[in-house]
Amino acid sequence: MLNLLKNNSLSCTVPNQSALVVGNGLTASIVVAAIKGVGLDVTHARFGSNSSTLFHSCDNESFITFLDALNEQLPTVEGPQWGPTEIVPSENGFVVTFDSGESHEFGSVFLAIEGALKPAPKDLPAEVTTITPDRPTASVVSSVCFLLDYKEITNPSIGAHSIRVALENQMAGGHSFVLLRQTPVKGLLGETLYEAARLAGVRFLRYGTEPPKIERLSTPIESSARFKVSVVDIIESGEEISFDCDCVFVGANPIIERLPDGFRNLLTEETDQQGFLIQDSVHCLAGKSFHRGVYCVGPSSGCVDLFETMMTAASTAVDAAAWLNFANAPQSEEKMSVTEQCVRCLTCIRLCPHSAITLNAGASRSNVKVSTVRCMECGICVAECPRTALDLNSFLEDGFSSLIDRLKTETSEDAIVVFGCYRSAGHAISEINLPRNVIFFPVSCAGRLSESILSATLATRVKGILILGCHHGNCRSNNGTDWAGVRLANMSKRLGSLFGKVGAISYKTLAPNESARMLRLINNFSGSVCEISN
Amino acid sequence: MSDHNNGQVVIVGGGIAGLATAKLLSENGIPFAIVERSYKLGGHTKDWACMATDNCNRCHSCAVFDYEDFVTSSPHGEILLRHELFTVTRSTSGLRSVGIRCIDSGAERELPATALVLAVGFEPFDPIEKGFWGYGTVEGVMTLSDLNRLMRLDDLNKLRPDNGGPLNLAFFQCVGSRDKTIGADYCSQYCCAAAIRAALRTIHQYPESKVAIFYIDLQIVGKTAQTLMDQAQEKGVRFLQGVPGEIQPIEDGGLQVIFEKDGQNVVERFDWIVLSIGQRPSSSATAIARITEAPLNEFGFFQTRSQSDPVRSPLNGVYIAGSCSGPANIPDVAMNAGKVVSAIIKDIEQTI
Ligand SMILES: Cc1cc2nc3c(=O)[nH]c(=O)nc-3n(C[C@H](O)[C@H](O)[C@H](O)COP(=O)(O)OP(=O)(O)OC[C@H]3O[C@@H](n4cnc5c(N)ncnc54)[C@H](O)[C@@H]3O)c2cc1C
Ligand code: SF4
Ligand code: SF4
Ligand code: SF4
Ligand code: SF4
Repeated sequence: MLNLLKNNSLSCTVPNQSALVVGNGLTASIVVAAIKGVGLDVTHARFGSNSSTLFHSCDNESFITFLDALNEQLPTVEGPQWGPTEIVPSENGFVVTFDSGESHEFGSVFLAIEGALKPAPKDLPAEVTTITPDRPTASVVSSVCFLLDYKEITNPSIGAHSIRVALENQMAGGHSFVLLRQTPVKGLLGETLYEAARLAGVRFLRYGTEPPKIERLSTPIESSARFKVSVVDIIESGEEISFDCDCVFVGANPIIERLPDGFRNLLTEETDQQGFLIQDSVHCLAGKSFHRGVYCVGPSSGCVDLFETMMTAASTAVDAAAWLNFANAPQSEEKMSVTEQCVRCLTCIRLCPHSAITLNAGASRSNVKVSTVRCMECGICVAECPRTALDLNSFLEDGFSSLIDRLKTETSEDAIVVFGCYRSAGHAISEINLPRNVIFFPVSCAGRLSESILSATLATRVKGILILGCHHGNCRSNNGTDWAGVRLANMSKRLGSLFGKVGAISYKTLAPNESARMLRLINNFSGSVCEISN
Repeated sequence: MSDHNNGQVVIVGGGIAGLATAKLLSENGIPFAIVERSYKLGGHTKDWACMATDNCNRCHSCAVFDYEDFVTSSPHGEILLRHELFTVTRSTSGLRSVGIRCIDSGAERELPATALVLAVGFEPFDPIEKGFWGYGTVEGVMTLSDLNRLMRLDDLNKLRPDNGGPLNLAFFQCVGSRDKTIGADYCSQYCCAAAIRAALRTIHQYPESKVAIFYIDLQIVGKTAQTLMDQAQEKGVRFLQGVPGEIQPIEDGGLQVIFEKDGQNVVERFDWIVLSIGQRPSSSATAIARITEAPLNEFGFFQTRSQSDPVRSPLNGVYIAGSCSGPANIPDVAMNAGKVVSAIIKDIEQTI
């Protein structure tokens, strides 16, 4: 396997300058072309099906010219076959260990597998086929029925494609029916296409909660209808309409049949009904996954639109180039310090949401190594290290100590401390005037606030602590904000007896554009704390 | 990859499209200048409210802060607020420079430009334009933009009835979209999901709220769509097919609408009606088109070469980013910015 890689002219001499694309078919080719387009080196490892599930809603002729032009651009790449393989984030890239046991390092990895479409729902007659990207040849003038939104909302690209084919069939002299719950009017021209189809005589029938009934006609005689369709149109008449037709196609959403080995620890395998991979973070945008340098393009992310896939491919390629620039640039400063207190308990390695920490093999002093390019300086590791062996250089533990010292002596009667993540509260605060009794202290992430910091703060003369993290799903460090909640729950069990300040600590979540709400939260908290103590 | 020190890219418009483009250019070592006519960066997205309930509902509005932080601290760029474009100088092979002017002082400047990115955004549809549903005259009718403003200011409580009863509101979808009579026969793409998020956000704050959404077709596209829809149904948001044609103010201060349900006419009263307004071409699109000679399409958005080349203007050296090439939501804009930068990198590499 590795020989293949070595002989492959595409693989690069500087491993971290190269991208690895795992997939097959049109999607992988598009991604490979996009990466080459921004000047990176690509290795293409083949995995999965070669047949494409990319839909397009443009007319057949312009699509064929387009595909021809595309084919000229698309590189033919020889690459290894993807076997049982491991991908492990390294300091500034990914170490991929192939089943031969040999490893190779890449700067970024792309998942570009072709998906599959779910099988047609079982309660439909067996002859009903799923809508695929290719077009049924319109040589025989026939009546065709497209059944969309059956059981679940059809992916809009598949819907738009169906309308296009229905229109073509109608123009060729056939009859087309489209049964749906929501007309897909995707893109700037979606409405125009829908309008054109309607004008050409394509019959759109809209059903409600009552699904259409499709029956296979029992004695199919040559050239006679094969299906009977009955549907209650909720817009036009509210009455049941029945018609016969030659073929019925049903819209089925994409699924990921199998993630290639090695990706399971990098991506979640969970998908929603339309086949999209669900990543529980708002930062997984434009083909990016939560891990920097890992991308997910095309059907594997639920997107079965050809043009959207091209767009995502281009976008991820540029992002990968940016990431490689950054990851390979000489880093001037260490982001973390590790002391000899470390006992290699592995807690930090396990908890770091950005896979930034690795074991420092054979080291005698600091036992773990923090990747300067991967570390996002959340400080979750600092807060959870049982040996307090770690510290963030730009948000030092000392900062908390001096805050606490200050609070021991110089606070007014009703002082409260607001710890806020700099990403959210740090922004929101610029638009409000804080009440006089509030001390705001920006933190790198709500996950940085260890129980010891919170207890020490509470032990001073302050009346209470309000922690403002980012909303769940918007934390830059995934579960950093949730850590605050967890620690607070732990502490509040013990708090009453310890400090006599029950309810004196609270955790809320916030976005940077919620200045007004932030002020309300602070005022409410301040009010409730002072009430308790009075 | 090595730096592209071939001169800078000038971006007109500092909304999320301009910022996302600038970020990716900067990260790839390409110098940029943002020419923004207003006093602030961020464009419309800065006006929208957070739609989080127990968790972030991915409206993506706050993404603008991350982009802005990055771009304003980039060593590769210059940000020119209160500036506008007034000339473009071309060379035989492409662009040479652009002339910009400070709106306040009138001072002019020449910026070298290897590429020009137009990111002048969109205009929210103004329902007063067509006297839609009494917006501006009938009390209680507002736009999604107005609702966002209320939420941003944490003033949602103002929508509660004086007696403290449940908040009672309805959304009208597709206002100023999918409407041939106003030259907007396209779907604005963002509003179905945005209305559902706003409904969820309202119910989250006031769980007793009664919310209905009148729609033509729900366009709930993409990763979070289904989850939103499921949440809405679980929270009792009513989805009603067909947008009523008329809103009547009634004596008790409420709004009465008539709609059809199961073949029957139903009369219902709401306290507030929110018009989910569409995206229209930017007010400065025609002026910019005149200055740059970049053509507009039939809807008034900037034309691009084709479906497969959706970011290059037919005019060499000019790129179209974000919602000024057609209605888009923030994730679309972010993706589109990537495509713009990839096209610029490709084109730069071809010319050297
Ligand atoms: C009510 C409403 C709610 C929305 N909510 C959401 C949501 O929840 N989620 C979502 O994804 N999308 C939402 N959208 C859509 C979202 O606002 C757009 O996708 C996004 O703002 C587009 O960004 P843009 O940068 O292309 O344009 P804009 O935000 O319009 O930015 C354009 C920028 O260009 C500047 N500019 C304009 N003309 C010139 C000129 N001649 N010279 C210099 N500068 C100029 C403007 O000042 C502005 O800064 C919503 C839209 C509306 C109307
Ligand atoms: S958590 Fe602390 S002690 Fe444990 S491995 Fe990390 S640095 Fe060492
Ligand atoms: S600070 Fe956060 S990102 Fe950095 S090493 Fe620690 S846990 Fe990982
Ligand atoms: S709901 Fe929108 S504004 Fe709020 S945190 Fe999520 S993306 Fe940000
Ligand atoms: S997104 Fe929904 S509300 Fe907006 S124009 Fe499209 S269909 Fe209408």
